[in-house]
Amino acid sequence: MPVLADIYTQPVQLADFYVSNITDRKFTAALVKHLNITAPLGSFQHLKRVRGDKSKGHRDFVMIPRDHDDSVRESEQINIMMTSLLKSSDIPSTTLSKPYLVKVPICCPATRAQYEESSFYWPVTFHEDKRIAQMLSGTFFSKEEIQRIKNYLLEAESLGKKAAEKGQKHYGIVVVDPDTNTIIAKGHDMCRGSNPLHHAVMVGLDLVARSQGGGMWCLEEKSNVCELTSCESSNGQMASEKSGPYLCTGYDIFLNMEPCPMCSMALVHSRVNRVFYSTPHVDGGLGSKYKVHMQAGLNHHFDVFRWTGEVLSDIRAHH
Amino acid sequence: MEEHINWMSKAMVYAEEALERGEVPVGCIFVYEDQEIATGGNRVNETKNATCHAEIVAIEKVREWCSLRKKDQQDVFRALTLYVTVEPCVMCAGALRQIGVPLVVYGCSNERFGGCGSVLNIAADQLSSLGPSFDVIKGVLAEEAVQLLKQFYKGENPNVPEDKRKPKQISILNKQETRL
Ligand SMILES: [Zn+2]
Ligand SMILES: [Zn+2]
Repeated sequence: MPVLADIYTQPVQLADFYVSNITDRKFTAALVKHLNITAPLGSFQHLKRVRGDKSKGHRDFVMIPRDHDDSVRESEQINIMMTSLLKSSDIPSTTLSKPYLVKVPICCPATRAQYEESSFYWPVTFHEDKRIAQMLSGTFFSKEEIQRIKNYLLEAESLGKKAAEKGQKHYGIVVVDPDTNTIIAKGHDMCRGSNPLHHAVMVGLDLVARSQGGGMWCLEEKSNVCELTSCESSNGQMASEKSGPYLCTGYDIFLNMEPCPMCSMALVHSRVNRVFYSTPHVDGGLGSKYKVHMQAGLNHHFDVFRWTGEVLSDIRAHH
Repeated sequence: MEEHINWMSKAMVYAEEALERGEVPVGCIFVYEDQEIATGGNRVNETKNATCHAEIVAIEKVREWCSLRKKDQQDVFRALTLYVTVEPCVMCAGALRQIGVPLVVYGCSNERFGGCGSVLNIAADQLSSLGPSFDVIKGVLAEEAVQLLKQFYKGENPNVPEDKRKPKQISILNKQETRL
C-alpha cells in the first residue's frame, strides 16, 4: 500500500458558497463570462460554474464564498453582493434568483474516490493522475514484483531478528539495486552499542557509502554486533573502484520497521529511489507521525510503500 | 548573548573550512562545562555519505572525547550546548534529540530541511520514542552563515552529476541544493 500525501487520502472538505438559480437560461453564457470577472472563483477553480438540474428544469449558478465576517448581517451581505455582481453588464438583475447557501468541496479532487464524493455536493473538474490511480487500485506492482518485495522485506526482518538476538533493536535494512535486482548492502540496528545513532538505516546508508569508497563510521570494530554485507560480495572490485551512483540514487530500501524522523530525512538526503517497510511506528517519519518524503520544498521526493499483506515481522506495531 | 556570539564565531571557522573543502559550509561546536570539546564541518562529499553533516561528525567526536577521558557519554550529551551555523536539518535534530542535547544555538534558518521549526519541529514535537525535546536559540550570526552559503551556491557542487545540477543561483536560501 502506498504512503501518499494527505491530499490523496483525506475526506472531501467543504465550504459554504452562495448559489443562485438562473431564471432566464439564455443569459447563461453571458453570466459565466461576466461573473468570471466580477466574482472569480480564485482557489475554487475546480468548481463548475453552472449546475444543471434536469428534474427541476433549472440551472444553478455558483457565485462567491460565504464571508464569515459576522459583523455583516447575512441579508445585507447578499444585497451588496447582488448589486455588485451584475454591475456594468447588460444582464438584468432578475436573471438571478435570491441566493442560497450550498456546501461545495474546498479542494480539487486528487483521486477518483474524492471526485465521486465531491460531485455529490457540486460538479467539479477532475484530471486523474494515472500513476496515483494505479497505486491506489493495487495494480501498481505485478505478482512477481510483489513476491520480490516480500522476499526483501523478509530479509530485512531476519536481519532485525539477528540484531535482537545480539541485544540490539529488532530493525533491519536491505538496500537493493532494482535494475539488476542485486543487494547492495545489508545491515541492522546497533544503537545499543557504543553509538546511539547507529540505527539500521544509518548503518545501511554508510555501508552503501563504503561500497562506493567512502563511509564515515568504523563499523568493523563492532562486527560482532552487526551483520555487514556491502557489495564486495556481489562485485569484488566495487569497494576499491569508487564506482556506483551518486549517493543512493536509484536504490530501493527495504525495512521491517518504519524509520524514525532522523532516518527518514537521512533517506531523503541520500536520494533513494523507493522505500518499502512492513511495520508502522507511532513516531515514524514515513507515514505515521510525519510524511517526510512528501514535505514540500525538498529537492528530492520518493515513493513509500507500506506492506499490507500477511504479517512479515515479529515486532509488534508501535501504535 | 555575547557568549553565544563568541562560540558561534568559532563554529563559523569550521563552516569556512567546509567551504574550502568544497562541502556545504556548515560548521558546529559542542560546548561542555564552558569548554569546546568537539567540532565538526560537513563531510558529505568526502565520505560519500549524505548523512555526514557537521552535527553528526561532531557527535562522533564527543564520543571520542568521552572515551579518552573515561566519561559516561550519556552524562556528557545531556550537559552539552551545540553551536551550529545553520538550523539543524530534520535528521540532525532527530539525532540531537536522541542523544539528549538540551540546548541548540543556531545561525540562519534552513528553509528546506530545517528540523527546529522551519520544515518540521523535531526539537519540540511530542515524540516519546525519540528522547526529550530541546531548547533552541536562533539567529546568532545568521547573516554571516547566509553569506557563506551564498558563496557556496555561487559555485557548483562538483559531486552532483551533470544532469542534476541546476543553473547557477544567486538567490540562495530557497535553493539550498543538496544537504544542509
Ligand atoms: Zn532511526
Ligand atoms: Zn543535518
